[in-house]
This record gives sequence, structure tokens and C-alpha cells, in this order.
Amino acid sequence: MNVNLPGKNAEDASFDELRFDDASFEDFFKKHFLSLCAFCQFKFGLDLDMAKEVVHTGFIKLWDARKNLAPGLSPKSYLYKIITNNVLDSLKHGKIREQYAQFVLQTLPENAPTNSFDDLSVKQLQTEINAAIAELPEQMRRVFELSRFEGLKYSEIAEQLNISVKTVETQMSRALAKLREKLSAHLSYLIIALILSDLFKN
Amino acid sequence: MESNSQINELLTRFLINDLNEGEYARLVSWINASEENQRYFLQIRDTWQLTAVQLTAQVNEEEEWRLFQNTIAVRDSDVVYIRDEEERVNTLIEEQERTGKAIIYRRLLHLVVAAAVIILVGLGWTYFLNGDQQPAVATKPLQEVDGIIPIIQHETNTTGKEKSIMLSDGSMVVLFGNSELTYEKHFINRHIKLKGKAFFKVAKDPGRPFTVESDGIAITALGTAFTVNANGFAKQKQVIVKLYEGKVVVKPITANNPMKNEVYLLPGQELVYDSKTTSVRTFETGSKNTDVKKEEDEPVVDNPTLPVNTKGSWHMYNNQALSQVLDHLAVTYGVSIVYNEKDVQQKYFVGQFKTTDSIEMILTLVTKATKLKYTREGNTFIVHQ
Repeated sequence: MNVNLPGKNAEDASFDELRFDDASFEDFFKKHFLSLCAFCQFKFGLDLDMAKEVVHTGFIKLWDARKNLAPGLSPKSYLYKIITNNVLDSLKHGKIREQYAQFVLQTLPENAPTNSFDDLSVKQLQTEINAAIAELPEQMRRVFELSRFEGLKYSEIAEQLNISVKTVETQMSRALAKLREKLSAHLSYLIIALILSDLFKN
Repeated sequence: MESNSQINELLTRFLINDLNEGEYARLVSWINASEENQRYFLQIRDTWQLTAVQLTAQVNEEEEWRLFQNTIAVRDSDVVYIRDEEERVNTLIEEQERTGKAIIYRRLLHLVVAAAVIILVGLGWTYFLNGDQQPAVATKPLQEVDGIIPIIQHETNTTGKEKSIMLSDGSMVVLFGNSELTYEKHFINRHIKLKGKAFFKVAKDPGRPFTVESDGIAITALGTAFTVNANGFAKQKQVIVKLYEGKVVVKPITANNPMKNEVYLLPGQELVYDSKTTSVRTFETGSKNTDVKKEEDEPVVDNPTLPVNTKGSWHMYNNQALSQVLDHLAVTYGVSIVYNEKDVQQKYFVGQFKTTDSIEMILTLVTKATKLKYTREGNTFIVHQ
């Protein structure tokens, strides 16, 4: 059953569509899954598996809630909202590495803005990140990739590349500093007034 | 004061979660020292998190969608199966091995595990004439071991009753009356010649196609399951090869054959062959499979019917051999499903699925009902104990 109410937004399927029509839900899922993962990775520093899990959980909630939600509401905003709440929740309950969580929590405003990636910008972002990494000097790039994407320890990287652990550490931190410069365009809008002092008082 | 590079190193190791308490304290006091430091920290952290976006390139939405459907379906399907009921299930299976039939119902989908000896893949042939001594199919050279002369086996059934023959590759043949088979005893090349009529239960072996040669054509099963039926007892020599699942190739193997080229059949197609014409057309997979005659003398309780309504919104398995079910799923979903013949033998399945159900969900249920497991590797599903 496909309910087509007048006034639906073609760009952003409304609940009216998703409510009864599984095919619309499928399209919606496929359209936003990637962006939502990217959002979780970027916004909350989740690793890919964790991001996927969080996004799946979000979609399951949406699936269950889809028949009972106010008409006209944007499911996309709803999804970003529930995912953000979920992540904050699991951060608070220590499901994610504690030390990390503390920082992340403190550096997020209570109501995290639900600004989102669309698919286009995720692909674009991937391309730019790729390019930035590719521009690093060879050894630095390999150190960075092994650490960031393969999750190897400094000692493992040192062994694999036949360099000292100290060199790995230097290269790694320089890589990050360089990437910060190259990707600064994407970072600027994220800089928000933060009150870190509270965190460190106790 | 800390130098820039020291701070960068601390920051970086913070991000990979590799700081001890002293270092952590040093970093915190540095961050607190100025707003500028705070901003720098956040930028580095965001850079770190931004690079993770790179990894989303690995995400496949189709796969995630199937996973999602699976999760929902399994969650909603109220599965009450097996672990608690293992004892009972085992008893039932033993019982059904004695009596030939017993059924275990799952609450929702009426999945049934039945153990019985049934023809897995039926190759039904009717009377052919002059089928012997055909030249070998060109694409299938003999694979004899050097120096070993193959022993040619003739099986002739002159009795009025059907006769079961076990081939050395695990395939089984039921040879009907007034029919004859010729094959190499070691059956390494899985090539068999037929005069008359026979059912074949083909053991799966993707590396070695199974070929039946008769009346000027050769029918080769390529890997997955298939069913071939020959038309009834008409005077006219006519073969109808119906393919339900998997792939077969039919080749002319005589000169002046009315069939000029080899024909690959897709599921849902049938090939009609006689001495004058050859045609390929599609058929309804839901149509009755009447040519496959029940074998009353065997301890066979029922004949596996093929999935009906495969073009509709659902498909159904009616006590079919598990191997057949898996092969059909593989074709339907365009994936490959690998299993060990001995894990699936004597396992049967009854159940109905919507065509929109994901392969993961179906396999989860099928393997649960048949006490197997599956693992996924890319597009390949491995079904195992």
C-alpha cells in the first residue's frame, strides 16, 4: 500500500511514505546509510563497526516507530536525532572507550546540531581525504595508514617498516598535523565554543 | 612548556588511546592553558575523526540493507527453535529415519525437517532409440589416468521393475525396465550413456560436470541442481529438458543434428528436442511435474516437488532435499552457496518465503531448522555443521 499524500517532499521522503511502503523504506535506508555512518565517525569518533551498529539501531527504531509518528515530520531529521541520542547515551554508559568518551562528551553541546552529510558530500569528502593522505610523503603516509586504518600499534608499524618506534611516533603526529592543514576547510565549521575547563576542574 | 612536536605526539597517542596517566595529565593541562590550545586540540581530533570517513568507502548499502531486513525478520519471527528442543528433535529424526517420515514444525513458518531417502535431482528420461555408441562430447575429454584402461560397465535392466544403481561418485540412478546404461566403472569423467529411461540423482561436484548422453544430444549439469524431464510416451521421439534451477548445457553430438549449437538453459526455460526441430521456451515453474513418477517400491515417501510460484511474490519448498533448496536459493539470489554433500544429505525442508525476504534471513531459518550453520564470505555462503 502506497499512500501518497499531497504536499509530500520529493527530496526527503516523509513518514507518510515510509509508513506503509517497504520499498520506500528500502530506498531511504540505502540513501542515508552511508552518510549516517560518516556522520557518526566524524561527529563522535566512532570506528566503522560501531558506527554501523549505531546506524542500524537507529533504523530499527525508525522502522518500529514509522507507523506512529506525526505526519509531515522528516524521517531524516528524526533519524539523525535518534542516532545522536543513542550515541550520547552509549557514551554516557561507558560502552565506548571511557577516556575517549569523556572528551567527546565534554566537547559536544548538549543538543548536538543535527547537521548532516548527504551522500554527495560523503563521496566528495572521501575523495578529498584520499587526496590529502596521498600527498603525504611516502613513509609518513604508510605510517598513518597502518595506524589509522589498520589499527596497528606503533611497535608493530616500526617492525613492519623497519624503522624505530620513535620515528613512527614522529611521523604519525606530523601526518596528523599536515592533514589538519590540508583538511582545514572541513574543520572550520565544527569549531564551536567549548567549555573545556569544567572537564578538567575535578 | 611542552614543545609543539611533543604536544602533537601526545595528542596523537591520545587519539589512538595510548596515553598513560602522567601523559594524560600533561595533555590536559596543556589543553587548559589557553583557548588557542583548546581549538588546536579540537582541530586535531576532528581531523582524526574526519579521516575515518574514508573507511565508509567499504560500506555496501545493499549488504547493509539485507542485514537490516534479516535483523528485523529474525527479531519478529518469534523463533523458538532448536536448542531447547534438541533432545526431542533428535528423537524425531531417529524416528523418521525408521518410519521414513516425521515432521517438526516451527511455530511460524512451518519449517519441516524430514529425513528420508529421496531422489535429490531427478533426471527423467523416456524412451530413446539408437542412443548407444555416440562419439564423446568434444568438450569433455576423458580424464583417464595414464596406463589404466577404463573398465566399461554395462547395466541392462530387462526386468519390468526399476533397478537402483549407485555410481562411484555418489550419484544414484534408477534404471527403468528395458533400458540400458553404459559408463566407466570408476566414473571419473562422470559421463554416462543412456538408452531408455532413468532417474538420476546427481552428486554435486562443480569441478566435474555430470553428462548424460542420449539420442544425439548431451545434457550436462553445470554445478547446481537441475531437473530434466522427458516428455511422455509419445511415438515421436521428443525430449523436453526443463530447467528449474542451476544451469545445464545441451549439446548436439551427432553430425546432421537438427540442433546446430549448444544451448544453455536458464531457470524457467525448457528445451524441446526432436529429430526435426529444437526450440527453447519458458515454462511456468509452478506447473505440475507429472513426468517424475513416484517410485513405489522404494522406501521413498514422497517426491520432492519443485518450488512453485517462483515468479510470484513468494516461493515455497515442499519437503525438498536441502541441497536442492540451497541450490535454488543460490540461483534465485544470485549468490553461491557452498555445502558439503554429507552435511545436507537426508535433510529436507518445508517452508515458504516472500521473494522480498533476504537471503541471510532465509538461510538463518533454513539452517536453524536443519541444525546447520552458515558463514558468509562476500557473495558466498558456506553452510556447515
